[in-house]
Amino acid sequence: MSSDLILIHEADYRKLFGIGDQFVTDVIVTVNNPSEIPTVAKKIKKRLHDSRPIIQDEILRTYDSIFNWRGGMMIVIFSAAVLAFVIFAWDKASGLSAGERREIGILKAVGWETSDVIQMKFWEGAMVSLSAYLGGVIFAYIHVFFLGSAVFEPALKGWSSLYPRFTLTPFINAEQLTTLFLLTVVPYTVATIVPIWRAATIDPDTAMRHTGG
Amino acid sequence: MIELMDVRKVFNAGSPSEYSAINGVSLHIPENKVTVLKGPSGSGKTTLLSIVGCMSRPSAGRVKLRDREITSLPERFLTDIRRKTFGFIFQQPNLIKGLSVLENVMLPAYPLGEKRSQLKLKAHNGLQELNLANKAASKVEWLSGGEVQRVSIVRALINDPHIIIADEPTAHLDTKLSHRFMEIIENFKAHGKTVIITSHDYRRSALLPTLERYLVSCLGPLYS
Ligand SMILES: Nc1ncnc2c1ncn2[C@@H]1O[C@H](COP(=O)(O)OP(=O)(O)OP(=O)(O)O)[C@@H](O)[C@H]1O
Ligand SMILES: [Mg+2]
Repeated sequence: MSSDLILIHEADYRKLFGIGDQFVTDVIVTVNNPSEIPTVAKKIKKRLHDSRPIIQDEILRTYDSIFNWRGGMMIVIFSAAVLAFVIFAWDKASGLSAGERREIGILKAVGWETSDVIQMKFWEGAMVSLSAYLGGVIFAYIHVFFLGSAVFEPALKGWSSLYPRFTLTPFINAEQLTTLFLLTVVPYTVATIVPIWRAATIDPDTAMRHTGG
Repeated sequence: MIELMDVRKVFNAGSPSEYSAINGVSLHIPENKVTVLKGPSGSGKTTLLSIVGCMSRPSAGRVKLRDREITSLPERFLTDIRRKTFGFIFQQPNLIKGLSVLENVMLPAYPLGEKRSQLKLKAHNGLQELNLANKAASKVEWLSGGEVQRVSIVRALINDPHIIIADEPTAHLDTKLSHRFMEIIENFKAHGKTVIITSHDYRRSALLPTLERYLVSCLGPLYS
């Protein structure tokens, strides 16, 4: 959860900090009767003034809340993005604007086939979602591997005063990219095609006139 | 060349807004002639043209094009006929916004797969003829009413169609440009093409003194 951790052997540690064998930094106290834990903790505090008894429950609670907090923050950001995407795709799928419908009517009237229209609009939709996809992936790559994930860094690494520098090795996960592609580009393109197909199969006269103009 | 037999068109059939725009029209549109359809506003001229031009189907009756029954052809064939046979000048300025004048003019030619450079040349020549050469790169939103109409005329002619369908083509043109348009139409006739024009304005059709006029009076309240 944090990156401010160095693992070394106990012996090295004692040498490094000059702590004698008779001293310890942390002591684990096991209490058989759970209801006596707070009492034991209090008594320890009384006897050893400069100690800080921490009950296991407390640790769990703290970890839990930190973890939830970070995870929650990411989920909020992520779901906002997903919601925006869904709204956008839904808007596309639920119908064409009057202008778009007329455009299709005009194209058909001047001799475009239904398939010509769909093809053109398909590429239009595919271009939009593909460029958004590529843009997003490239931005994410630069952001994570060159800028060290500057935006999410605090949330992901944790806050502490000891910051070890570390750089991520750039790598690309093909599976993830494919999944992302299938979940964004494909539905978006399909969502744009369906209403166009519906509009392109009605009479051009109706398509042009319905919307006035 | 085009034969309409007892053609009817009912809009929104079965709903309270049902409206019968054409009630049993039979007419013959001859080849290599200019036919003028006249009638007051709302008499169904535009509706009739869209049936003739394979853009909508009649609710009843039959339409023949060159002795070929087209009433019940599937959409694919209608599109094919539309693009090989007709050039439309719409009453509404049916240009696509966001595209340039040149691109709008070239639209009907894209599905035919012509070379782009050749197409551009053709489009430029067409625009030149109607004094639009300097507007080729403008967006269509910026054009004046008359310019829009001229652009649609150029667009209608780009594929060199056999039949020109012009719905009130001179409504927004000044006298000089109207004359220019009529010249183009006459030139068309000279090349053995067929022209169908609508008009609700008698004075306008007076611009056609030299043309053979077929005044069709079979459209409900149409005048001759
Ligand atoms: N899709 C439609 N739904 C309902 N009514 C329609 C539809 N299309 C046309 N109409 C009606 O049919 C009638 C004939 O319309 P049309 O456009 O053919 O008239 P027009 O003779 O071209 O008139 P104008 O000279 O004003 O252009 C009008 O009353 C119009 O409201
Ligand atoms: Mg009309």
